[in-house]
Amino acid sequence: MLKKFLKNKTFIISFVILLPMVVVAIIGPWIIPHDPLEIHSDKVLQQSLPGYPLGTDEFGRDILSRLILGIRPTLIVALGATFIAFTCGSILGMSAGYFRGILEKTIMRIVDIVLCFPPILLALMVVGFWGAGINNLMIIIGIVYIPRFARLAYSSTIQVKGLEYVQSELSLGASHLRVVGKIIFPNILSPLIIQISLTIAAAILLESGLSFLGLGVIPPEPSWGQMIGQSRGYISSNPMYVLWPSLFLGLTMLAINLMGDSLRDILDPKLKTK
Amino acid sequence: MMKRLSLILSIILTLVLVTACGGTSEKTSKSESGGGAKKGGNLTFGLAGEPATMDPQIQNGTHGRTIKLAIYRGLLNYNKDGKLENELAKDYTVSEDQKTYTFNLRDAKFQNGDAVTAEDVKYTFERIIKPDSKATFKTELSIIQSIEVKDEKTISFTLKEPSAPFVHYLALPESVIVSKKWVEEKGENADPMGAGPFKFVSWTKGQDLVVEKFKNYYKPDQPKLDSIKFVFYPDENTRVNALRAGDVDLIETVPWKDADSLAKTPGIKLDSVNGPFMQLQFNTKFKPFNDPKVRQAIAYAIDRKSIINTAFSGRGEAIYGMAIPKGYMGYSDKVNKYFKHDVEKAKQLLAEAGYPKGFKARLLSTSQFSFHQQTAVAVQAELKKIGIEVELDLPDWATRINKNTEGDYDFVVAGTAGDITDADWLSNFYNGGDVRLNNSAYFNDPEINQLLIDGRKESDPAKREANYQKLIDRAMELSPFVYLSWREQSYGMKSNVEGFKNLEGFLSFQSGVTLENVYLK
Amino acid sequence: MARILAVKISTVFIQVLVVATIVFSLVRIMPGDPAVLVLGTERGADPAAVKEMRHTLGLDQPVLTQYSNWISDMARFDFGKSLFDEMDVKTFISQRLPKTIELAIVAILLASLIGIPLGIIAALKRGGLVDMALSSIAALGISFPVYVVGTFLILFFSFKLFLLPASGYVDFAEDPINHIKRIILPALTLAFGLAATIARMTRSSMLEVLNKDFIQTLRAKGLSEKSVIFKHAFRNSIISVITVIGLELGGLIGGTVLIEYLFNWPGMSSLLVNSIADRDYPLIQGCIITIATCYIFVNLVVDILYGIMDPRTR
Repeated sequence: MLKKFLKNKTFIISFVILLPMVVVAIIGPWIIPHDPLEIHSDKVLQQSLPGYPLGTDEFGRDILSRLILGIRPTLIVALGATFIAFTCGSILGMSAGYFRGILEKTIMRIVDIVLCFPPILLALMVVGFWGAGINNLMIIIGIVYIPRFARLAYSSTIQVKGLEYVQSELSLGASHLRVVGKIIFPNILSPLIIQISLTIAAAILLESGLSFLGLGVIPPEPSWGQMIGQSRGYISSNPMYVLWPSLFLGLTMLAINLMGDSLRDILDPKLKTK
Repeated sequence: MMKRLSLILSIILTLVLVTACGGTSEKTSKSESGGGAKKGGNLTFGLAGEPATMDPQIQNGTHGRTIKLAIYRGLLNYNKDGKLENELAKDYTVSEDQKTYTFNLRDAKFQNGDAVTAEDVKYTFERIIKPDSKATFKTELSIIQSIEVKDEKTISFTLKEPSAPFVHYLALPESVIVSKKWVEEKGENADPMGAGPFKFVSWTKGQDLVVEKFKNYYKPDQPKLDSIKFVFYPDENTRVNALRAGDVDLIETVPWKDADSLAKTPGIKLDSVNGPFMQLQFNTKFKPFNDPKVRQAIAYAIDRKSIINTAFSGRGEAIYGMAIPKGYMGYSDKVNKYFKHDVEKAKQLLAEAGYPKGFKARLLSTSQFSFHQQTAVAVQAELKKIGIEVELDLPDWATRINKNTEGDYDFVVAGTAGDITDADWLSNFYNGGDVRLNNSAYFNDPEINQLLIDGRKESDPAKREANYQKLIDRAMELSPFVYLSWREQSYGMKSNVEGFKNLEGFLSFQSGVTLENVYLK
Repeated sequence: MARILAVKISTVFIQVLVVATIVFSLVRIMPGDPAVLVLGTERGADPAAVKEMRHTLGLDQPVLTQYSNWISDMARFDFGKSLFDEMDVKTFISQRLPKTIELAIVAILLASLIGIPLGIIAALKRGGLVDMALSSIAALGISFPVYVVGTFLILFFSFKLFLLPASGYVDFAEDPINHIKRIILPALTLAFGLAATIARMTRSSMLEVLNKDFIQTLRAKGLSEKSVIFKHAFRNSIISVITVIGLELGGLIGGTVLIEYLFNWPGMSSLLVNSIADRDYPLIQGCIITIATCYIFVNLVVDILYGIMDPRTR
């Protein structure tokens, strides 16, 4: 299996991009050249200054330091939300597909209803009464993406449950927990893993979109989406200010998407895009 | 079916025609608006928002006031020099006891052709002060005891007590005269119709509001424009982009960050005044902000320059005292020298108040308007230097307003201005009483309350001046507000727009009154 | 068939009802008082005026009464009136919805025109340089958020080249050329990411079909490559592409928030965002129900289309 990963060029490329990102996210606070929150009202919106290679923002804060620390909320929200969506979604989907009956109907109807709301609108409304902030964003975005996993786990579970050896295992009197945990879950894991990479990408987009609208991470803490949203207004005075976070966000998204592609190739060559 | 078919056909036809001669037709339209020094023209005005309602008695923001002042006129209005000027009133007299004001109306017409009569004036103000009224200035105008129509063109107001600021409240855009017949027939949310220079044409929600020249306006040569199209651009960047791209001729509230570059752009000019001010309001009921020393410490601690440079791109002016515009009653040299940026003094005051190590507090602001948010971020950074850990609370505007009016804050960033040029503008901020949008929650000082009442009743200017000096000293001592800066308010326009004037001081929000003078060169 | 349809449609109704109830409760939990906002926030309103306004707006009635009134109105397709100016919510929606649909359709058309041919080429040259190049472009396309793409398009086309207006909307009837000019940038921004999705989908479903036995048989029969690809392979793979396009269209009706914000496009999303900012309850409810219904409806149509075009799936 590991060989398969190492042989896949796309996987290697995405890994080469993502690894430093994650490392920087972890060691960020120790390598930043300046305090990302410190205001220098005498050197605002500089394209580049000695000691400030990427320039400063409208508060005279170091853009490089803010970029480095800005990875954190983005990654924390994306990973946390995906974890929530994955856990809740898989459990709901598997129970619906395994037990069928009323449980199936209830769960899948609820999932359908959540799906009726475009993710960004649902998030927008919930942020409205719940307030922004990293923890809230994580939970909100997690809930928004539960249906994706629930539907996938549901249909895969039905498929796997129909297989002969599962049926025979069941007729031998194995407990539900054993069947679900030992047989069904490992068998539906591949499509779920692929979905995880897609969801991380979508969650980053959603978080950055909300932050762009000013409803995400609470200032003065930096986040990429928020930096892009703020910098948009200074496009004529410091165009590099909008360029850097955009570039890093795009690059990260690219790497995660490539990772998804390669996972699909490796884990399930037959699987379709959706 | 046939109808739809013919519609589609005609659309295709026009499309073909338009694309065929598109290039040329565009050029001609450009030269039309650019060249030719003929009078009039059609102005496109980019507003910062869409008014929620066009009921004139409600203060619905600068954008609402601008439209209001295009369509309506009051008995009096502030003119382009910021002075009170008779509009629909030809003149007026005040009785000996300062309690009865008698107005003679001039021959003006409403846009539906009816004459403006004393009945309309009576109806307008009775609508404002009636018990179930929703008027913003109901409290201020409730000083009116009775209104009497003498004849068709004469009306007198009797006040409960003498009031120097009364005529100023009559000059507000919220006191414009409505037609009794029109409102009674069409209801409160009727199409707006008044006796102003422009006549309402259409309102496409979410998009624009169009008015056209009112030919029977009482000033014979005005207005000069043929029409104005107000387009709504709630997003500041979009609004500036629209001016840069030439989509609009004039925009209000130019974002500070774009002011410099707009001023340098050929073909665009800027009209800026220091109108409104930024301030901190405190919840004076709870620790630690119940102590005037703590509030004063904050007044000393914040380097105003840092706020102006970061939140307002270096534009505006610091206030180290009280926000009294130059030329207004109470203004003196010392008005801006009560405090200075002095971190040591701030720390000392904190220690005296019993907080030598600082404390934690929650600062309310909003994420919806970037200057509010940025001011909060700058204040947070400044207060950190004297040991105050500020946690920002940045909900959307609606929630921020809710928390503000309920007193649910430790302190809050506010950007505001006085309503009138008379010193009684202070009442809205300093008068005790219910927690409201514009006061510091639970602040109630009997001495200040009394000074406000005295100032209102007094008609002798010298005595009033002394009275308000006393009030300012007391206000600075207690510091229920900490003033931060004068906020520059700018209009940006193409250089061929002539006659528009950004009014000085608090009146910047009423600059729409000059639309009657505007023409395109 | 008819029975399945009837069941599907009745589920749609129940879904809409549940959505309506959720929305009704959500908007009332949000802090903020519409009465205060109606009265203007640049200067505080009189407390008595606020109370009076709450009464006028019917907000002082018990929540359950408000709810039952609203539901029974909705059963008669009456969404109520905006709290701000007594205009029918339906009027608002009928003004805004077509603008979003127009934007979405233009974007989808643009995206299909770019995406489908690229997808086919990539599939035919599988593994080659062209395929690699196209895949990387597609990956870039889905990686950059719409607001980043839009910001840079504005910077380039409006501020550097002065070719297109940065934002806004002009009625087609009023000025057709300006109307078209103004839709280009937002539609292009949306199409950028969509084209990438469509290209990927086309590529993978083409590949799938091309690997099927019947294609090999057709080739063996000596049919020209052109006819094999366009008459048979493409026609068979188009189903899944259409599904994707349909689902994207459904999502776009409420998913153009950032685009409408960036370009000041007066569509459905900006209406909803503004109505949330204003706490205009009936308008928020009307908007979300419309958006959700569009989404459900598009899904239903895609379902049915799928059934018609591909008889194997039930």
